Amino acid sequence: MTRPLLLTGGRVIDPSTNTDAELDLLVVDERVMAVEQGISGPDDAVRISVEGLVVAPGLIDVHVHFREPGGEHKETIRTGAKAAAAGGFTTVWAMPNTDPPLDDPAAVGYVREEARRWARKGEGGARVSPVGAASKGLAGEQMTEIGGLVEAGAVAVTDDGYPIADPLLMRRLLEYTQRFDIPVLQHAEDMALTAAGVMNEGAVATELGLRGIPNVSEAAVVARDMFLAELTGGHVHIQHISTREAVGLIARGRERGVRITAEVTPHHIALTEEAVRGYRTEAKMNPPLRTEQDRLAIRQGLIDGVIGIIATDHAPHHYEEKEREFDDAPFGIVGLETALSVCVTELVSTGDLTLSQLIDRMSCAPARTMGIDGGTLQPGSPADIVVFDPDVKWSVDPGQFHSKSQNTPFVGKEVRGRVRWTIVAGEIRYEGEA
Amino acid sequence: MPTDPIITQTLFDESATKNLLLELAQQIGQTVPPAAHLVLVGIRRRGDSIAESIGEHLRGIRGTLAIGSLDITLYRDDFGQIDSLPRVGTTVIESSIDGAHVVVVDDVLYTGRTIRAALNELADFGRATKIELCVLIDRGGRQLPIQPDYAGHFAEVAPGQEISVRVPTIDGAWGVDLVDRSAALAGSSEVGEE
Amino acid sequence: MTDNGEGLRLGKDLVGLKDLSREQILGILDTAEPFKEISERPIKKVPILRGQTIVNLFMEPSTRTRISFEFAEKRLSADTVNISSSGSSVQKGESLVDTARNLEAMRIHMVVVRHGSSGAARFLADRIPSNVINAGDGQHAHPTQALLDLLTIRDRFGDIEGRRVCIVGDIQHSRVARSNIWGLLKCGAEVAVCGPKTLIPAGIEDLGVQVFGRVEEGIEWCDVLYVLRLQLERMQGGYVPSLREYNRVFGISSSRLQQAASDMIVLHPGPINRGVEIDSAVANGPRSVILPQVTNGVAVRMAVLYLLAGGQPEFAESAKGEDK
Repeated sequence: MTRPLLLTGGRVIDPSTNTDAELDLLVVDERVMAVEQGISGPDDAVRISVEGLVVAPGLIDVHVHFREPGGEHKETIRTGAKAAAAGGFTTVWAMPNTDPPLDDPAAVGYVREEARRWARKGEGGARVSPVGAASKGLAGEQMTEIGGLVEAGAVAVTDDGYPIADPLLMRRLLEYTQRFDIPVLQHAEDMALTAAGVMNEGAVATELGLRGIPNVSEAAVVARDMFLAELTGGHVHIQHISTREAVGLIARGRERGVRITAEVTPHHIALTEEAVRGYRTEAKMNPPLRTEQDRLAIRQGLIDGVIGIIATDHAPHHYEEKEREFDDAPFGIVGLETALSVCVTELVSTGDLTLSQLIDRMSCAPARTMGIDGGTLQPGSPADIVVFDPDVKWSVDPGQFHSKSQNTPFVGKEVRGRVRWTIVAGEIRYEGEA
Repeated sequence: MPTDPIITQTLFDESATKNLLLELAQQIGQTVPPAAHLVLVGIRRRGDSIAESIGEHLRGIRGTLAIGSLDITLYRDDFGQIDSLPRVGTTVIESSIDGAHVVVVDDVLYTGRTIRAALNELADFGRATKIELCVLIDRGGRQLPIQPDYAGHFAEVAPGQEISVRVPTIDGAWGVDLVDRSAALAGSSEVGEE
Repeated sequence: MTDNGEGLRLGKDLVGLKDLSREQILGILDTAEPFKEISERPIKKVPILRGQTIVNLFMEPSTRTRISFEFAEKRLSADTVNISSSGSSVQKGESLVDTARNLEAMRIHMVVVRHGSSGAARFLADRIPSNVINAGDGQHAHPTQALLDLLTIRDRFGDIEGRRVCIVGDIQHSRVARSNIWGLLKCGAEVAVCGPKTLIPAGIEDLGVQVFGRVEEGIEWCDVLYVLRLQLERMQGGYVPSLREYNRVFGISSSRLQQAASDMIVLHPGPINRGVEIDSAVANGPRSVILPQVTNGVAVRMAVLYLLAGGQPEFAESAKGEDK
């Protein structure tokens, strides 16, 4: 049994209880026991003074790729979970596009157990929740045994990495998953419209001679899935929104009461297609970085709450895989260890969001939207907590990452806000430098 | 461009320079057999003007002759060691030099490296029966075993001094100056390039 | 020509014309002038690059460009080695970065690179100390082709400034079109593109060109008609229904040229698909400067090799320029 933990003098920000005040927080038996002023606590409690720091519900990332099994040279469940903890995350959702994919209960169970096994050995990081494959082999044809996947620990289904292209399969998924009350996560992309595109379609792609991916490639699928969610009553969650068109569609869907939710990545908030210039493969991801107009629309969507969730789409790739011709480099960047800082810098320092709103988008909203534990410091809830310094400035050095991969476009970026402690189930899983 | 070099002395003014040119033409006219196919090849960018002038005189003295100009930039032996990339000029050789009596014409003879480059380049235009060298000023200081067959004047040049030849097409008028380069170290590349 | 490249600095590499200033581009053209004469000599060889080793790294099939570069290199007395994708380690899956490291280890002076991926020339240039000349990278750039085209236009009209150039065909997949657009605009020409809408890339207007939907409009408007080769694989891509259809709607025929200005000229980067993008009567006709383009190609490449070889390494970084 871990010793009780007492965090004293911190600024507790918990949007789930409308809290933003200097309070002490006591953790006992893996749960939040009390959030009050002047807690004395049991004698054996570990006491940490967190004056000047923010104490918030642990961050939740509903979109990461941990590559295990099959891609352990890029990331493993262990290193991924540690990277997540270093970024202030206490729960992450691991996507099923591994090799083999997480399309049967054994594979799903393996991911969950692997994370728990390292935690038991004192090598744990964030909680890792597996997301099951929506279709067998991610082939987009036959539905997986979703009931079995859920029993094994799956918290949602998706074919992420690929879109669920077949509208009939999508309809069936949105109908069938309702029995388990889990969302279908959609990587919204029309592969035929994307063709062989590698970056946003437009003047920059034309100039660089790179094949473009048009906005409609995303928007067309978002529109279709919105109507399917409306028809079926199922919950569709659109991953990594990148276009202004998609923001508009989701806003309209939500107005009509459709169960459509969405996430946006820190890199789509912070960057545009301009980052690709120089053929920088660390700015190659799918969906691609879009135009300034899209970036502003996404930020507005996040501010308005149309897009409720920030998720990283943490996609580690080995250095050698990115060190090549732009066309041949894989899509994706790591994000766990820069997400909070990039968002504080890009959203809070700019005055677009308050700290409380940012914590909502990165913790409370994911929990609320997906119907999972976490995202609150209410007494009795699991003691998943992040303590961070909202003001300290630092510059991103991928050499310091806990992830196995370093493929980030934010290398050298001056950012604000840094994680000091990440606590999962009352246990300190990460302690950062002051 | 840095400050103008300080002219210490004009060795030959316009008319004196013209006399040198006439004398050189007469020497060539007397030496080259009348039956020879004479080709004057001036080395750009001042030797070609001198060749043209000598050629004018020679046309009065003897019959046909051809005049060409040679740009030796691509034959230089100091490529890669020079600070400023030299301009490349066009080489114009009107007729084949196979069997010809070629007189290479330049303004100043110094180290001999330009002439070596010119000889190499000429070899790519054919096999001349004979090649001779004519310079307006020989200033000594050879680094290669090359001597002029015709020289308008031999000038004594102290260290830090250069000979500068002026031609009408580039400089407006004929003339030969002794230039003190020590006062204008990074002066015009036209000066004393030889 | 009075300023044949004196003091001209190109930097370490030639990756694209977008990185160059108008003065640098015109400087290359001026430098090319004297190199034209060398190809007319009995012995077509000057010793300036004696002892320099040049690797022609052609990771995509090319005959014309490679031969043109080889002529240019040999006429400057460089030692050349050809590496092509067939039979080299490239075929065995060696990555471009490994190829770059190997070239570096062999202490070569220059690499002329042709590669199927946009950005490959820049990738190589950033990783090796040798001079890198882009001989075509994906759909991005083909700077020496554009330079020889500029030289050909200047030869005919005396000046590029103010000329109207209409590029016809598959703009989307054409590095030749892109490099010409940069080069022409920097030299003060007006540029238009024309082709099936399926082959006009998004945002092309942002580069500063106008778009004609009908080839007849372009022909009437321009002084120079630049006809691009239609790659036959565009049929499979579904960009155009058939070659016959393409010729019917966009092919350059004598009858279409009746509306053209009397001194309008026709360029083509070769090789020609006769009867597809251009009819034989036009390709062989009086407006065609297709063969002078080929001749100028050698002179321009000699000029580029000369200028890069003479560049001082310490100036290279500042002159390289960012692709922005």
